[in-house]
Amino acid sequence: MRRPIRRSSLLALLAGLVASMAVAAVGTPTPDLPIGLGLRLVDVPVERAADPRANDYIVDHAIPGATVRRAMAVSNGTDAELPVKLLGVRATAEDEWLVDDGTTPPGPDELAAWITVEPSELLLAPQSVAIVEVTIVVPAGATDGERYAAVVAEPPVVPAGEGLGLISRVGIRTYLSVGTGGEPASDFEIDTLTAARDADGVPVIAVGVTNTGGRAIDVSGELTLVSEDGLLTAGPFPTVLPSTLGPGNRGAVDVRLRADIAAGPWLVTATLHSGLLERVAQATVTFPDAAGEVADPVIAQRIEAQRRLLIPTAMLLILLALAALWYLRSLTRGNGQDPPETASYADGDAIPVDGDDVGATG
Amino acid sequence: MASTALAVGAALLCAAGPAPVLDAAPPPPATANTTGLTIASVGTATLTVPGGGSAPYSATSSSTVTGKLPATVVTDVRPLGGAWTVTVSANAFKHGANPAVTVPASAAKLYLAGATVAAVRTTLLGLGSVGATVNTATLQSANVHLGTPYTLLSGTTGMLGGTVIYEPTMVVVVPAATPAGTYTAVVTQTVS
Repeated sequence: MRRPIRRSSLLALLAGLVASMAVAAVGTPTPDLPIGLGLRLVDVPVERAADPRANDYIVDHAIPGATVRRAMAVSNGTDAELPVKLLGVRATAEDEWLVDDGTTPPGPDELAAWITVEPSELLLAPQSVAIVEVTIVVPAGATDGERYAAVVAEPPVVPAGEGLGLISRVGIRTYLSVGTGGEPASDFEIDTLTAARDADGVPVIAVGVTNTGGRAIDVSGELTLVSEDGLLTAGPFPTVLPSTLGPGNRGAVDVRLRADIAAGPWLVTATLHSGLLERVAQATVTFPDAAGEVADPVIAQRIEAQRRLLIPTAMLLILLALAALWYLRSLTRGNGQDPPETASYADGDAIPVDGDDVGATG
Repeated sequence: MASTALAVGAALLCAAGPAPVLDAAPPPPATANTTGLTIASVGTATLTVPGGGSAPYSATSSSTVTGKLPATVVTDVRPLGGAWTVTVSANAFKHGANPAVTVPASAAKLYLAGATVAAVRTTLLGLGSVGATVNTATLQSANVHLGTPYTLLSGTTGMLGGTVIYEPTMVVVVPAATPAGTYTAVVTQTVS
């Protein structure tokens, strides 16, 4: 190498040394960040891009021995430097989504143990965003089944020291299916509709859902109500909150209606979805009279989603086509064969004009 | 040094196997200013004893300590606004002078009264739904305590994003014959 060493390279070397000794805050300065510590999934696999769940959470299927990679953006929306740890923690998805606090280390067959984040610790500069890489290495001997974990960003305890401290973490849910075959299908059934009134007398419908597929689901959707005579409709009313259900689990999503909805009976159509999957079911329910009362669950009948739209649309189109055909036929018949029929129009002034037109063309 | 060696070892392991890598699309530049879920807690926690001072020592009866956790702000600006839940748990309250003396986390509970949860829509349009629901039925159950993780509240902010602010109340039932002293505990809340 040539001498003397150029000053700039020496400076760079020094800077590198300093950086390795004292941790320098990292991150790209970013305006308008929401307050606090933030985490976001940056990339979505192309084949899952249309699935809303895959945009919010890590949702994937991998064979044993495979590696799953994702990038995440960690944001510091505070005005101070923020030390952040990044790690995988245990989570469960039976009849709800629950995240462990991380005091119990995950076992070797648990998804949380397979997750590493690079870097695993960083000091985020104020009002800035840094990209981190999440790697999930599925062990070659991993048994089949879906596993759950959360990739969390963890700030220090506030306040440090004595008394009651609080750690406020933000995490990205991870739903990883492991198996040598194809990805297990997701499916669910709407079993029952249960009408009730809450403590304030507001009508509520609990939609009973069973996860009949091989993967966890996050169900939400809406209800529409039609009175028995078909004259009154109400809704759509959205589900209060999405519900997470693991395979084989049963749960309910609640829908709050308006206080002025009549007791019924109502034909209720429930349309629920999880990701790209949609299920529609109907049942006739009647709301109980008293606040706090719950009616018996009514078994819901599944409706094929396409039929619900396609049949009425097709019928309407056929009717329109028939009407148009009949109208055209009556017009041509009126022009060509039976001119006096136009005289039967009530408006006397219009007839001569029509007559002139007919005369001009004929 | 040890960590460098470990990293090299891991890299070699990855290179050796023909295992597939499920890599998603390359990340956009870090300057993208949208964030996903954000959590912030403002202020400090306080635990007080009715009448002030310390929890009275009693060999025979338990005493109750209540407190407030700092207000927490959850902001969801994910483009598709899916579900989120806040899971809470705590470790045991450790005696300041003798960490072997503890009050179990199962003696403590965090809860939200209806008035302590507020939902705010951050966008101008104010369309869609923003909401957070507290599962009061679960919280009233005696089986719900900070010894095992449970859902403090769940929320959904719809397509346009929004903010939910909540201020949890803490209740600790200090068991009888608990030695006098200052106890320290850490509550962990995770939004995901």
